[in-house]
Amino acid sequence: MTVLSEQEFLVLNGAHLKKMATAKEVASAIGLDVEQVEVALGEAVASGLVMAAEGRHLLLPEGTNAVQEYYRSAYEALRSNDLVLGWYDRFEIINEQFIKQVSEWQSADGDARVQSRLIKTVERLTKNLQELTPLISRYETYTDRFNASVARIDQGDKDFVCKPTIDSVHNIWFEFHEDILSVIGRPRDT
Amino acid sequence: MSYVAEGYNSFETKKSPSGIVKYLPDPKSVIALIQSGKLKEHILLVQGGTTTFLAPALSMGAIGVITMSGAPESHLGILSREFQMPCVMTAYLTESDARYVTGGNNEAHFAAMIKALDGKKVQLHCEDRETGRVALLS
Repeated sequence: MTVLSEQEFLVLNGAHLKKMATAKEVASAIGLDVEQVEVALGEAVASGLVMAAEGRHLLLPEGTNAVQEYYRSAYEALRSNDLVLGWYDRFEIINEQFIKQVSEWQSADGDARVQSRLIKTVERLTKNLQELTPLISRYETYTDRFNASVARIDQGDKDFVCKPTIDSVHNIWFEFHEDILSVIGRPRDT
Repeated sequence: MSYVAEGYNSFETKKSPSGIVKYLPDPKSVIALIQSGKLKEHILLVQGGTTTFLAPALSMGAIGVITMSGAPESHLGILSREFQMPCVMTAYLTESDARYVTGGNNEAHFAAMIKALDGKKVQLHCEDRETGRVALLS
């Protein structure tokens, strides 16, 4: 079993959550320099943890195992922390709300009122995230990414609602959901 | 035309992709399919509507998906509409009474679906607002 350093974890977890991402996309998501990420991904490809195709990266089973092992080791104490588990229970409620709102937004051709409700849900999550960042400092990058994408939507760029090929709020939400599930050690079934 | 399976339609589209059904049970099978370079020859069959390991296949241009559980309001439903990739969800065999039951034991239902569809050449028909259909070509 490969044991990852903190920086290796950040890079590989970024690739793990983003799925088929370029080094630039991973770097932007985790707040590291592109050069550092390129080196780390190159090493991970050489050691069989990651596959590269058309400049994009995907974790191989060995890489996924290493990332999940890091989660287990780094967040063991949080898996029985009442604050974190209670936070996640509340997240599930707004997660369901968010998914419905995105679907409604799609079927309503980007209706402004639906969009406004959806943005309020995102803002509720970023506010709630402040309760977790003292325990998981890297979660600040999710807040920064949500804020940046909401700002783009406010400027009229509706692609930042849920276009899958950019850092849309749906993409960030999707990644965050998988991340918090790995922190608390639960499979994704919702 | 007779349909072997049908389910919820993720979105209305005149696209009617055809290909050999490929059941993808885990991330490893998705990676193997991408590495084979034959992704676009297949209609992908997966168990759930929140199958995160399918995301790389969508990014790489998957042509159509059949799920055995999950709703059009799931993450996968949202992504299928964004990628404009036809997606039939919570599909069932038209000649069987077996249906997916939320929270129930669906193993036999899933096994029957996989047996009936995996390896078969099919075409997806998703022009109806509510129902997506799967036609058997061979």
